Amino acid sequence: MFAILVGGTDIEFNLATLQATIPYGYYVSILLGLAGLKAILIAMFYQHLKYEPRSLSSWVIIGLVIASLLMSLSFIQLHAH
Amino acid sequence: MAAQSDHMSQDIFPPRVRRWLFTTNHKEVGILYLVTALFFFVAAGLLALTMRTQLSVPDNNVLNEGLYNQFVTVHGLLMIFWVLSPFAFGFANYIIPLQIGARDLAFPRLNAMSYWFYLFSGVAIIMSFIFGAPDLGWTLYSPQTAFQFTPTIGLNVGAAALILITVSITMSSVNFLVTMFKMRAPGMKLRNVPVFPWAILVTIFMMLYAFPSFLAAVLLLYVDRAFGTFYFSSIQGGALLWDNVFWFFGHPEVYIVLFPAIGLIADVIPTFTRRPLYGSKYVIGSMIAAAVISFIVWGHHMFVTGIGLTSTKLYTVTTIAVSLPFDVMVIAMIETLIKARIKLKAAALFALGAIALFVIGGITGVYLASVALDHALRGTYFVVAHFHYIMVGGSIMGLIAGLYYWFPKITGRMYNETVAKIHFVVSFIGFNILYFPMFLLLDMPRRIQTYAPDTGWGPLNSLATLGGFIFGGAQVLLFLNLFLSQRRGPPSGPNPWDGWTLEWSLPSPVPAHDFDTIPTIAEDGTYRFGNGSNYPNGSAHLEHSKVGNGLSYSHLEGMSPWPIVMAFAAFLFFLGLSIGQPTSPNPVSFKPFWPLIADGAILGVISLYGYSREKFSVHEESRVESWPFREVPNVKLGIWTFLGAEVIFFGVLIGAYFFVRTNSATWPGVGELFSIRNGFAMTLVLLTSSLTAIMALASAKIGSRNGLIAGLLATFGLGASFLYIKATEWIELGTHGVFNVANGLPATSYFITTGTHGVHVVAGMCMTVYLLVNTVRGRYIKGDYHAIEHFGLYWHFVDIVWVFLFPLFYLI
Amino acid sequence: MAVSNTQVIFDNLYGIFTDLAIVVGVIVFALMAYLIVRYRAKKSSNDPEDTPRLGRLPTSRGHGRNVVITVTLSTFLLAVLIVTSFAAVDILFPNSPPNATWCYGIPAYNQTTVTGQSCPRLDVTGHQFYWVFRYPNNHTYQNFFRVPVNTTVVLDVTSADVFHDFGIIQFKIKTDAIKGRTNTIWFIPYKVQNYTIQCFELCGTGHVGMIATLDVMNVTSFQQWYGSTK
Repeated sequence: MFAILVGGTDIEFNLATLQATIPYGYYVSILLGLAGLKAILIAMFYQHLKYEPRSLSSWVIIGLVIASLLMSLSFIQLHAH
Repeated sequence: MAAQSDHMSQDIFPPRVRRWLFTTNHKEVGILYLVTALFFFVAAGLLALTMRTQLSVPDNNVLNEGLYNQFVTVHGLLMIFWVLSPFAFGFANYIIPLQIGARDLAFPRLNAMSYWFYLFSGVAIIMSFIFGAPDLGWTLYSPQTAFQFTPTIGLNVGAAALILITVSITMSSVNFLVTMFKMRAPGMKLRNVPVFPWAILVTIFMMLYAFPSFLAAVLLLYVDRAFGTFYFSSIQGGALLWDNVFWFFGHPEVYIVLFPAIGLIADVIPTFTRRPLYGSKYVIGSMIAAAVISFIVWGHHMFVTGIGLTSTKLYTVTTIAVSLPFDVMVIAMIETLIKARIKLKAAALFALGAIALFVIGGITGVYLASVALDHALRGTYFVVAHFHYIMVGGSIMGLIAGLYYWFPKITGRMYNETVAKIHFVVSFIGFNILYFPMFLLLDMPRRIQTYAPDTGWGPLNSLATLGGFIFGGAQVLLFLNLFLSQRRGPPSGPNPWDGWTLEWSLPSPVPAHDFDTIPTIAEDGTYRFGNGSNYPNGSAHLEHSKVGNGLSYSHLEGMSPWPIVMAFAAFLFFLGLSIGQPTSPNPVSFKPFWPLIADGAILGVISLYGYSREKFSVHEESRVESWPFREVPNVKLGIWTFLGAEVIFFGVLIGAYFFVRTNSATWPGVGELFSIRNGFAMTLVLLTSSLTAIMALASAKIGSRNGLIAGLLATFGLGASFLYIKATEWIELGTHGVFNVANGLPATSYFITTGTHGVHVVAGMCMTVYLLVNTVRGRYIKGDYHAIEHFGLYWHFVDIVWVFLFPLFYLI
Repeated sequence: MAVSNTQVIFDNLYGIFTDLAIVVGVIVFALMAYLIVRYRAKKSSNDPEDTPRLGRLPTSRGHGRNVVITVTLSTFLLAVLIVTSFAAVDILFPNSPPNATWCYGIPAYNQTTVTGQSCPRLDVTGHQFYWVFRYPNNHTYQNFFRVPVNTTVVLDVTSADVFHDFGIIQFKIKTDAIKGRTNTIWFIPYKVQNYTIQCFELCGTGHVGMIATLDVMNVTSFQQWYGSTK
């Protein structure tokens, strides 16, 4: 687990040094995607969500879904002017 | 306040003052909330009456403009934060454990602490008048709140008060959530719970996810004013950043102050119509739907800011959609009247009146959902009328219904019914005379201290002022009635209304230990109640059987000095942060006032220590109804819930960063400003510290003391390394690169966002020290490893936040 | 009595909303009053059969059918309101901003060509605590401005300091004045008269005095005045 996380971070670091060669949009998306992946792994394994009763994990997931909804709304406002 | 206590005379209690200061009993905390909220209600009401007097005729000068602006601001702040919610939560504290068959809340000391934070925050906001109270409306729009335009301390004190009350509310939220999910009586399934507790549960969820946004907003405002950052004083952030962040909180907030009253009404009406609530599950479902939708309508406060038709039309649709659940609720309550047997006692009158006024308020809300109409109505008295119909007509009238409904239960005495009915009639008429003319004043701007005679607004304003005095005067009847009845009213008996929710099965007033025996609810919905001795086998019995001798119940009516001490410490701390003078010789921000801050911090540390060392145990019933969190322990559930609030908090901070960055034409490129290597190192350090935290937990579980110590030490060390790298980085940026907050938004957003994260790291490290000390003492290795687990949950969350901050600040 | 096109749009839409509001309100209140009177407790009556009692949790009651009917009816009504609102706002804020010509004597906004005149717009800037109006010829005026009647007028509104709101009261139109942003509104005045403008967002102590006047003149008088300011 730890190795995966470190590996992911290493990828990010290297990506940054190559930053000039990748289109900016893809660059940001990949980075954020990697960050999201790491976050999920930490939550599932370090915070033990994978092993917790279903009720607790659904709790967290529902919250995250709603949070994403809000972020989308804000994005629309920022970019669709 | 002391007058309420003679109903507890059956049980033996220590001297009264100590008792009220140190109580953690949910009933007493509830009474404290109710009395304090009513006090603030009168204070804010007097502010309003003064404003109405000023506005009664054109070109008046009872209040000059500066004072008027302060009055209107504090009136709004007091009513929304210090009256409406606390009033509702006073009832929630007293009644909900009774209604679900629990003996107290999940965390009684936390509950008391919530109250004291609330009280001290109220002291702070009143104190702000000394320095010139905040005077920009309760909505505190930017950039007029920036130091440049408001270089006065009063706003800082107001901000401190708001932070304190947010903390109070967050603690309450976690508490009620865990209580309602994990402490119901056996057989009390969620679907059996009455509507009022459900309404509070829904309210709690909204509070949990809305208030962190407010906290972030006030925090950013504070750092702008105290450290000269640029969130709200810049063009890229400024008015719209505050507008978004504030109203993202603000709209759920106005539902937060409404829902408890609706739940209350939904329980009061059936009692006085003698029939069950029609469609109760649809009512509850609608409340949940409305609560969720309430988070996606905030843009309707920004219809004329120029955010574009795509956004505004979207918000029109969501705002109109949110009226549908309310339709369902109102219809359900009206249907309950069909083929009923309606007894028009005072509580019923207020409940029904509240529905009628809420309908008017709701309909006019639909007007405001239309962008075209809003272009005329925004910032006018039409809006003022709309929300007062909801908040006073719906919420306050509903809460007064609750007051009459539960007064006998809380005091054991009956109020005077005739006076109460007169109170209703005069209030209802006065209310409409006060607020209906405001709809007709739809041309008149809000928050203006006076107006010219040739506008023609005079007559309607005079009429409204008359209504104001009638409505305000009527409340004297309320206070007299309740105060005198509480002293010499006739005994009410346990169930004067022939109600059927669990609180009516207990004596009035409710004894200290609540239930002799927690009832068990059978499959068919029946249960035994009362202080009898015939109980079916298998019901939950209390350990002690001594009734009436309060001493046995030390763990139930437990007293603790730490809640009030801790709250006072926080009060001092935040006050110190807010009353410093402007910097000199070139004022751009405020200095903190270190003596108070230090006092508060020291006292806070002492009280944290005392709190944790206190032998305060909560008796957990052996058999409880706790779906869906049957297998999740109380504290763990509490921590995950708190982390959810933290997600929103950091989400808003990161969102603010995105906002100002998107609006900035130029921004430093990748690697230009920050050393990516540093960021990489910090990420690795933190990830490793999460690993060591896991190893610590594993050691604790297998009982290895040395392993646990090693793990904790390593985590602490890695945390310290993280901070060290960060510190060197900051120093380098500050001195060599001349990169400090005065340099504008990249610096502002970087320092504040990573800084807040850093504070969380420091907090985590303090926890490590505490855990280390206890480990040396031999704890956590004999199967009681939970504290390590809980720390881990928090620490991994802090790690997750950094996992996002690293790419967001260093790599893009 | 119409004073501007924006006011007419508002009055029409407001009228639709109010008609529906009155209908709904009357129905709801009449129903409530009727039910309260009809089912009042009398000494002789007994509690209904399904009155819950202590000792037994209440049974749930009610048809989902009623909920569906309510929601459907409400949705229809609200959809009407949404559609009419969208129509109104599309007129007020067309996709391409109106070309601000002094279209003398032409009442519709979307006629862009006129007698060869160029068409800049008026800039409005909010300050603490006054309004400044800047004309295409760069002359500025404080707290008043003049326009010809029956002409499209376009205003680009911004702020020099804090968050203000520019509202022409009788025209039922307003927009926020935010530093760093420009919000555009437009109108066609129909009546020669003076109109009051106020600030609708609390902007500090002085907010109450942030009043300006719009002077709508007949076309010839305006041309004379504007010509003389060159």
